[in-house]
Order: sequence, then C-alpha cells, then structure tokens
Amino acid sequence: MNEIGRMFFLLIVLTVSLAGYFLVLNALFAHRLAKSQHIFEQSRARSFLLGLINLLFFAVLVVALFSMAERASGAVKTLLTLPALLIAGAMTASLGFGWAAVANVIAGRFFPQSPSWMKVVMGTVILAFGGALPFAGWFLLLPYTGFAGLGAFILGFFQKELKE
Amino acid sequence: MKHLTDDAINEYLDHELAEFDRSSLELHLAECAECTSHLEVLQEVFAQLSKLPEASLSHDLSSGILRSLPQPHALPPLIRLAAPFQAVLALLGLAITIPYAYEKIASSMTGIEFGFSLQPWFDLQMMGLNWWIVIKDFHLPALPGFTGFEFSDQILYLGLLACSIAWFIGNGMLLKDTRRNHP
Repeated sequence: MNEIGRMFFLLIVLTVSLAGYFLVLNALFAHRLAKSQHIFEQSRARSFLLGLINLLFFAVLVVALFSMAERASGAVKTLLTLPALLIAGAMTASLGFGWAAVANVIAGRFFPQSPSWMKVVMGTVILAFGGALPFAGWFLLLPYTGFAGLGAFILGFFQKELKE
Repeated sequence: MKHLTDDAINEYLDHELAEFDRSSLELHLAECAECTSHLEVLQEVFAQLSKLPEASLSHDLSSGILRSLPQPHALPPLIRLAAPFQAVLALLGLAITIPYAYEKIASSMTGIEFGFSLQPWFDLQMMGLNWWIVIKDFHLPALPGFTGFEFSDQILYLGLLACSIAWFIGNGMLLKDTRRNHP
C-alpha cells in the first residue's frame, strides 16, 4: 500500500511538472505547437510512421555511439559521447513538443470552451494518467502518442504555413 | 452636347472623382438622358458582376509562377555550411591559443607591462577542460533492477545499418511532396 501511495505521489508530481513544462512550451512556441497539433489531427498515420522511424533510428544511433564511447578512451570518448548526448537531448525535446501537441489535441476535444492554460493542464493530466495505466498505457498509449506527436513535430518543419 | 466618357462614368461609380468634377458630372447627368441611361447600364453590369460566385482554379499556379521567376543568386549550400563551421573552429583555436601566446610574449618581453590580465581567460579554459573531463567520464545512469541487454557489436552495427536504411527510405517516402500535399 505504501508503495502504491508513493507511486501515486510520484505520478502527481510528474504530472504537475509536465503541465508546467507544456505550459511554457505553449507560451514560447505557440506557432510551432499549433502546427504540430494541426498535422497530428490531419495526418496521424503519417505522423506515427515518421515518428517511429526517426525515434528508432536516433535511439539506435545514440546506443551505438555510447557503446563505442564505452570502449574508447581520451578525446575519442568525448567526441563520441558529446554527439550522443546532443542527439538524445534533441530527441527528448522533440518528444516533449510532440506530447505537448497531443495534450492540446486531447484537451481541445474535451474542453473546447475552457481557457487555453486550463486546456493545457487538463490535457496533460489526461495524457499522464492514461499513460500511467499498467501495460496498456506504458506500451500502447504512451508510445503511440509519442511517435505520432514526434512525427507531427518533424512534419511541421517540412510543410508550408497553415492556411488561415 | 459633349457626352461623358466611359472612364469618367467608371470613376464616378468608383467614387474616385473630386468633389467639383462629381458635381459637374451630376449636373450633366440631370440634363442628358443618354448619359443617364449609359450610367444605369454600367451600374447594372457592375451589380451583376458582384453577384457572380468566386471562380476557383483547378490547378494552383502559384508554385509554377514562383519557379519561373528569377531566383536570387545564393551561395552553394556547402559554402554556407562551411563558413559558420570555420568561424567556430577559428574561435576555438583562438580561445585555446591566446593564453599560451600571451604567456610566451610576456616572458620574452620582460620588463614590459601589458596592463591587463588573462586570468579570466585561463579560468574559462579550465572550465572547458573540466567539462571535457565530465563528458569523458560520462556513463549512462543504471536503472535499479535492470541489468541491460546483452548484444554483440555485430548485431548493434547491423541494427544501426538496418535502421539507417529504413530511416532514409521512410523519411524519403513520408516527407515526399509534403510541400505540395500539405494536410
């Protein structure tokens, strides 16, 4: 029981942090997020596939770089570790953008009339609690939303401006 | 009697005539039945035109027109990429060598005071060196209860190769025509 309580507390703390993070992203990169959101809604299958192959490729690349760095020494090790850390950081940031866009889409469906900050918070809460569900959430919902969100974020860089 | 020209009537209908011209034109219209009927015909034509629906083109011509316009002369992409890279390298080289060069010059020119110290620069260099050591000794954090996957290098590199091919083909297919067929 104590373990469950601790997990629940951790989940709430993580959700609050995520909500804050997504609010900041919404405030600073509103246009980029709106674009990702629009693409996620319009071409989800394409976004999912694009996110999947990119995350897979960069994850394997990072693992390979770290693996090579483990056996290297001196400057070579630094030169291998540095790009691995940079790529991992960039992918994490992109995933953050993707999930923020997904949270916006979810909130837009359930609370269309709410103020924008409330929508972000509610979308994050729904996504975080949904993703925390054992097995289905961990291995289906979170990867699906992550891949599709990431793909939508990447697609946003290659598409023309949205039509007004 | 001299009748009104089409241009004058058009400008009158578009409210582009000056106050004086407008008054004299209205004065003429009050006296000339022929010009009044001509004005009414033009008014009717414009009214009918404004009721017509917006015609939409079957093809978007903008991309073709934009392509046919003379393109501004741009540097080759390789040079554009190389320039900032060279600048960063040059700055790095300067950052590394300046303190040593200063030391050399200062030791060879004994008795001359430069009046400034490069200590902050040395501190920055030391900070960079510390970062270098931190990255050199970096290890991925271990998850409790997770021993990791054991796989040989061959499998890892084969996996990387397969993922690279999938990445190239997948990105090529999924990003193809995105500029034209946006959702």
